[in-house]
Amino acid sequence: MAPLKLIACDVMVGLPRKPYPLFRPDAADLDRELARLEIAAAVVRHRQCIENFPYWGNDVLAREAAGRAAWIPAVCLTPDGAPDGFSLEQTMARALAQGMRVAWISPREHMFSARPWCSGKLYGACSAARLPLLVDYRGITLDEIEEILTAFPQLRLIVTQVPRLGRHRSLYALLERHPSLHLCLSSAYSVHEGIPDLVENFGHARFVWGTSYPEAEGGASVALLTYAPITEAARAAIAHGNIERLLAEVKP
Amino acid sequence: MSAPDIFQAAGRAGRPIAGAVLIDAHAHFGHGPDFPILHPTAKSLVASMDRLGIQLSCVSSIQAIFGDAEQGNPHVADGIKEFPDRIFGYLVVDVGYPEKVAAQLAGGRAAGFRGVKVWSYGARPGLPYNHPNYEPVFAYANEHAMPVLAHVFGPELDELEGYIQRYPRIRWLLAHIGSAELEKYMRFAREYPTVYVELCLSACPRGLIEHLVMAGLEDKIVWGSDAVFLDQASQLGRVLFAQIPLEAKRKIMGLNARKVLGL
Repeated sequence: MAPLKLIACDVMVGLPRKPYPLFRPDAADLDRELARLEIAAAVVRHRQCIENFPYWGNDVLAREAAGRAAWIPAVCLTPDGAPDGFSLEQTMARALAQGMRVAWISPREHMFSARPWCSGKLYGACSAARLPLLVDYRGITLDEIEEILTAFPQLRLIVTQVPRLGRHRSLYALLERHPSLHLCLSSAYSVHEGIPDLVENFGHARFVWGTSYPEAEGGASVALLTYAPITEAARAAIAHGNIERLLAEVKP
Repeated sequence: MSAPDIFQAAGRAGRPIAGAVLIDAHAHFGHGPDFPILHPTAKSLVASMDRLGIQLSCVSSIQAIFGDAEQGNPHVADGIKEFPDRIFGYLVVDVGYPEKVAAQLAGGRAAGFRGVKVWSYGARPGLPYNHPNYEPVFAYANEHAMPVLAHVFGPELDELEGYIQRYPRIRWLLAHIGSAELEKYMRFAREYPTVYVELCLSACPRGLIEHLVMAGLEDKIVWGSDAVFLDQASQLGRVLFAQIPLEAKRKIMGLNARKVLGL
């Protein structure tokens, strides 16, 4: 039987200025990890987008991703667009024309408000393009997510690094209220009976899978999904089907 | 060409582990104070164990840890009765109330508990391990040669060192290696024959297990999951996919735990 096809949706490649003591997460390391864990593809963000300048990081990622079929580059966006034009419309149009199929924001590092009064144009543009937008749980508040998805109910927001807080009281409420909210489930979401409970309550279409690369051992995320007591259809959807559908539905 | 890694292959396919001793040395029943835990029962834990091929889980009561040993421990005792071959019980005592401790220790041992779990402070306030109220607890464990699973997140190591030196019949399991003070955990494991380090940690730090094995500690590493706080599968995945020899995996997954637990 062929192994479960896996697409990791929360990868961050690139070397931090302060090195990790036990590994070196450069492009070659990511390629080795994908091969070792038999991961077919990865949505890749670049660390230079947060340790350096976001649009610098996007350029670095574009160069490193060239020729790597397993990498799906995620473009880091800010509500003001790239300098020197500072036109979100132009930035979005150019990135979509260049093949962008997924984006991410990091409001805390890039010092802008995630709330609609500041970032509403960005969410509107992503909604119009059906562009999946990643945001790290640790970089946004749940109240902000509530405001964003109330104002932009079509936004395909994917929250990564969902934490291991059992039957998360606030996230369950958000999932009930906002059908376009998606969660990326990795080893950070180490919840006893968590995945089956999410699927039972919300179906399997709103969950994608990740590895928490580079900080976590990716095998933990693999086992989280391969052993989850859910149907094979649900497992395949979470492992790869949902993100493939989201990427395919982008309107360039 | 190296031999195929049967444990990694099983983990990738989601098959129960076969042909190895597999013991979860750190698990719980009950709800946490901060958030509800899904199905935190013996039946649910045993179902998870069956999916993974875990033969034995070593369990303490979350309610007992967070201040109600008298009502919490019986949940674990019930689990031991229901699944005597699958559940190993760690007793928790109310160290804040020393007048209760002697009776709780004796009653717990009579009820089938074979180890002791201690939890000092962290997410909730509590007494540090060097508080005198712990003395009778560790003296009792030493007298009966019981294993002690100690919640540690770094600073508590210093508070425990005196007991480790004075109570040589206790096998110590220092929980959550990788959380902080890594070198100190490793020093304890190297210096004290009775000290083992336990792995469960939600962050699943990459490279940690390889680092410990490279440092020569494969006989001192014990796998635990922290279920039902955490998911057994993801915690086990850290070992199944670790880039270490198969024999080291066997030790970490269960052979070392057998020594600690006295099985």
